[in-house]
Amino acid sequence: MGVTPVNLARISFNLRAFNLQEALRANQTSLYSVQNQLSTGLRFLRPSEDPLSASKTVSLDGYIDQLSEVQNNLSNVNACLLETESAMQEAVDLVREAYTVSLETVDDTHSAEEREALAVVVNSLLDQLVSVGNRKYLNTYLFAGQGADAPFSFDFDGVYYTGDDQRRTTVVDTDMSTDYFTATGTEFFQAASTRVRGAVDLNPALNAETLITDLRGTSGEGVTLGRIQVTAGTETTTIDLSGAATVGDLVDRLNAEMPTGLSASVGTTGITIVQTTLPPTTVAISDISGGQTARDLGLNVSFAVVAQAGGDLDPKLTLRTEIDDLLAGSGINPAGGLTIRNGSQVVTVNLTGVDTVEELLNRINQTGLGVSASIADDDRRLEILSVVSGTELSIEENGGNVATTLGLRSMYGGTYLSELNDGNGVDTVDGDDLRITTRDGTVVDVDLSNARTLQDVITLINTAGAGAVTASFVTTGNGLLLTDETAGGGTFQIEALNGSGAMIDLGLDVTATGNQLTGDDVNKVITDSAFTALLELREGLETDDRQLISTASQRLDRVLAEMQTVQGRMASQAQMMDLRAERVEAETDAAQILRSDVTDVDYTDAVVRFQQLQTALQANLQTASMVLNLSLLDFL
Amino acid sequence: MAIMGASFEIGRSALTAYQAAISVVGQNIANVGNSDYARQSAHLAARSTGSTATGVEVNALQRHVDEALEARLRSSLGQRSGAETIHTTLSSIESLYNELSDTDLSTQLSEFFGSFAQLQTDPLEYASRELVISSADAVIRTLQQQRSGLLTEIEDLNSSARDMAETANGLAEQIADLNQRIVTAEGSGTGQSSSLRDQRDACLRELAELVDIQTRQYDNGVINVYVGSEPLVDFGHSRGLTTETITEDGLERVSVRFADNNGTVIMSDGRLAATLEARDTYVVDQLNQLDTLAQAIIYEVNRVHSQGCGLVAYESQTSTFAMADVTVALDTTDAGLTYPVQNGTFQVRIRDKFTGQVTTKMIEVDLDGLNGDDTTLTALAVDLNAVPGLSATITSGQKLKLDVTDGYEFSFAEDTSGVLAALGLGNFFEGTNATTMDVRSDIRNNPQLIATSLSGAQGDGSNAGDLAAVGTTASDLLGSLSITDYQEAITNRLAIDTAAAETEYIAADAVYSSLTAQRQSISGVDLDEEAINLTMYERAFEGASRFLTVVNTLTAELLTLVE
Repeated sequence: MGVTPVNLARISFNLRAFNLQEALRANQTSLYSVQNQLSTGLRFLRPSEDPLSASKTVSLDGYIDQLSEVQNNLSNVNACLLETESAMQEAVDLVREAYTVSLETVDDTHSAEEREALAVVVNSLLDQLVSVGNRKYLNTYLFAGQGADAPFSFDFDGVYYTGDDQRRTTVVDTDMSTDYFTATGTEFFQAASTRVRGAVDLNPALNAETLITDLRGTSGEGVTLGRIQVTAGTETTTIDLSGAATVGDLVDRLNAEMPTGLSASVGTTGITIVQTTLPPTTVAISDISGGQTARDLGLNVSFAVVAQAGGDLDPKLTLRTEIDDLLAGSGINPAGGLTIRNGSQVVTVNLTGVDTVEELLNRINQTGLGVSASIADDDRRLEILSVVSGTELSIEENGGNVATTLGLRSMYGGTYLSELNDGNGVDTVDGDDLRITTRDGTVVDVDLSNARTLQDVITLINTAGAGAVTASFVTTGNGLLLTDETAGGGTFQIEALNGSGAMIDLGLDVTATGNQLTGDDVNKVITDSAFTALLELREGLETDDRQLISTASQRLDRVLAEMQTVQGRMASQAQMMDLRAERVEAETDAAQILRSDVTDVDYTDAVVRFQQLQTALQANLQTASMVLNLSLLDFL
Repeated sequence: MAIMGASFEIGRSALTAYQAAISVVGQNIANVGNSDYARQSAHLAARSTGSTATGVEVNALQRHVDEALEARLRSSLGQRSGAETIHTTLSSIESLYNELSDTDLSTQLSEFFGSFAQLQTDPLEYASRELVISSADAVIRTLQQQRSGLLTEIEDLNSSARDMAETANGLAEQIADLNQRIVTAEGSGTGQSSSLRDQRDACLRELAELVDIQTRQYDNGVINVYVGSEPLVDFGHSRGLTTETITEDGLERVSVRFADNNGTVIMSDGRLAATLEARDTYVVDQLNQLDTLAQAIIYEVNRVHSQGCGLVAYESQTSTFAMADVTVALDTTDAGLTYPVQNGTFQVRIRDKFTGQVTTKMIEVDLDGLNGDDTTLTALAVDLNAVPGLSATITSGQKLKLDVTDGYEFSFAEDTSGVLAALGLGNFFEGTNATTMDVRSDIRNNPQLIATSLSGAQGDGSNAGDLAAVGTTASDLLGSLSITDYQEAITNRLAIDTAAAETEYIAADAVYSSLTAQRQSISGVDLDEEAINLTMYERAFEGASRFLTVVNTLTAELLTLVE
């Protein structure tokens, strides 16, 4: 407030009044300010009263708001995790009970009737397990992944999973980092099969439309765009490639800015640089210090030839990838399509006219067979998984080679013998395993001890057959095919030697039709889930099939361990969320204390100031009345 | 008798002089409460004819005024009132923003982005979607209230400027008139015309409070007044002040002109100059910052929103923003898009509602400036038309309209070009500033359209998570500050400006108080002093009266001798 200097020659009446007014104004303003502080408990009500503290307060308020949101999220998530833990425990208990039933009934202590009666119990356990699988917390189906509907249903002669394998996530910290809070049906119940994972890297060819973000680049870690330097003879240019979205954009930019006489084009695997002015000069392409664009594009080269191919940019397989670009541009021959058999249902997928990977996957997914076709996580292969528990899936050829080319045939040359028969493998013996007798009486003995894959089996039979017998895969369906290349009046047949189980395990325990022995599919895909085990156990008890009960028992043992692992993981996730919630609460308290330090008034200080100001005001009023009332006129 | 006559004359002169002096004291006492009044004092001088004393006379009435001090006072008055105006304006903006309360913009922005975080956890929860809309509405409402408050502030400042210019014009005319009257009054040789001069000083002070003026005083009593380097009052003539209203960027702005030639009045201090400065420097600046903030919120939210898909997708959509020219590249000025577009791509997903099958098509937005084939809206429509099931047309309003075959729906994804946000497709907000900002009407009607999912799965809330992070992510539109940081910066800047304006006002007020005190010290009336003078002149008058009585007695006695 205004301060009137005191070194004045004379004090007029107006000056005296003015001075008192100014002093009173200053007093009243200060008093008003302290009174406000006392009545609100705040040091300042407007940012301009203390801009620095106000700025801190606004920041702290934002931070406290964020903390509150996170706290809110964590509280919701914790409730959901609690529900998940309880559902998981229920599921584990149900599976454990079923496992006990399987152990009790697998031996001779129960009669067929008793087993049949226990099938009802198992059926009830199955119903309960499906019900647990469809457990919900508010709007969230706990095991549906990111699906919005109940994930499990009895369909396709088994238990059908319609959820996905993506967990639900939430913001767990003020830096907006996220973490998951659900376990999917595929991870806890193992509701999707682990096969068929594609066997072939579909290696798409590069084209102008390929996105830069879909390139692995020569480093395998993607392509970072920046500036490169291109020198041709004496001319050097610096080219900024950072605005490019597609490979076509890169080539356009290079062609627009490279030195005269150079031209870029899109090759099958990378970018090719061609010298259009002959004879060729020395061309050097390099990164500008700190950059890695030329390296990532495989263009950090120096050459004096007409055409120089850049490195393999290794594009990812995407939904948009053209079928014709697959296999380095070879594409696939769609003739025959592929056959998918899941349980009792069979569909042959016609792939004629399919242009992109997405269309191909759509055609497979829309078969309505309880399969899920997608691009594998490595972005190189396709995969078709069964999401039905209790059925067997096979992917077969239908006279062509589509399934094999796409690496999707469920029984193929690369299949390990150990994988066959639901993982039970092939039981070979020392010495010969098979004897094949052709129609002309030629006897071919085959020793399969060294065979690891089905292709090994085919090679060993072909070698041992020496032209009399040839082995291959059937062209329609799945299975081995033995062909008698001889002619004669005998019977083409196969038998096991030395007690080997290989013939049965390879699906060759069959009778010949003419000169052909057509083997069975012994590598059907079974979803290794608790539901499959319960369905098997129920069937085993109903039909008094102790082998099936034993299979179910082993499966239950296996899945129970896996379920408990996931249960443990979710328990630790819940603990982690709890710890986060505690930390966030502590941070909120700390932030509130800090805010209080910044904004709240120090009452002792404020009260003392109030009293001081009150005293000053009183003094001011008293002196004012005295000074203004004193006049010489009173004495005249 | 000549001696007697002279004595009578001496006594008469003394009586007249002291009567006059007492009148001056009376005048001073009468004006003791008049702060414009400059005290006067009667200057007494002995009269004489040759070597003969002939009494006393009031030869001058002295006005106690320090002209240099008056000029400084006027200047400080202008500075004080200017600083006060700036401070008042900034304080009222601060009140309008109401920052530090529970309903301020920063809290509402936190709640808005926080509502997306909540939606990420449970994208299927309808109430959470409604919460996003209501939080967005709160942000919009506050931005609009603040914007309309700023516009009202501008109107008020314009209106004040008009009134002040009119007042200043009246004062200039009064000063010109007083100049003439002073010359006339003082030309008659009766000394300074104090009351006229007091009136003129008051007018000058009043004028200086509005406009920073310089004055030049002439010997004949005239004061010429200058504003900047231009004369306003020249002797008895005022050039006059008037105002002109122009509309610029949709805002009305009043400016002050000389009435005679419509020339610009250059002012640097005073209430009027400060009013215009407060308008142009602070309020318009705040308005622009508010619009920039609104634009950034609209664009950044739209940019992320257009990458995702809601619980349901679109069956038809018309772009929010119209183009000026659909045949030029999208990133050119002629295209008329408010928001930036760059070379990139985006995807359109067509979903069969019956089977759930999705077909994805990539659309290139070629804006590399090469080969003469940069994407125009027409070209974009052609590309989108080529997507099976999708039909793209350009409306008569230069907007892009997308429709999909019955039984299908569409959404967008992975837009690296920003074209969707720039055109207003798959967007959350519409509008280009705080006034026009609104939640897209189809989203308001159906919150299920809020794009929470990136993958298309209904339970996927990852795009909601991305939307929650928009508030704290750096934006190119805000010079790499985040929306939250920018809003905080606006508040902080305003707080600092207001605090600085208050400090400036306090400083100017201190100078003014000090100068006023000095003026009062020189020109103010002191009752005690006047009482002493009064007593002194009274006694002098009594003395003169006694002297006349003595002279009269002597004269009578002398006449007795004659008898």
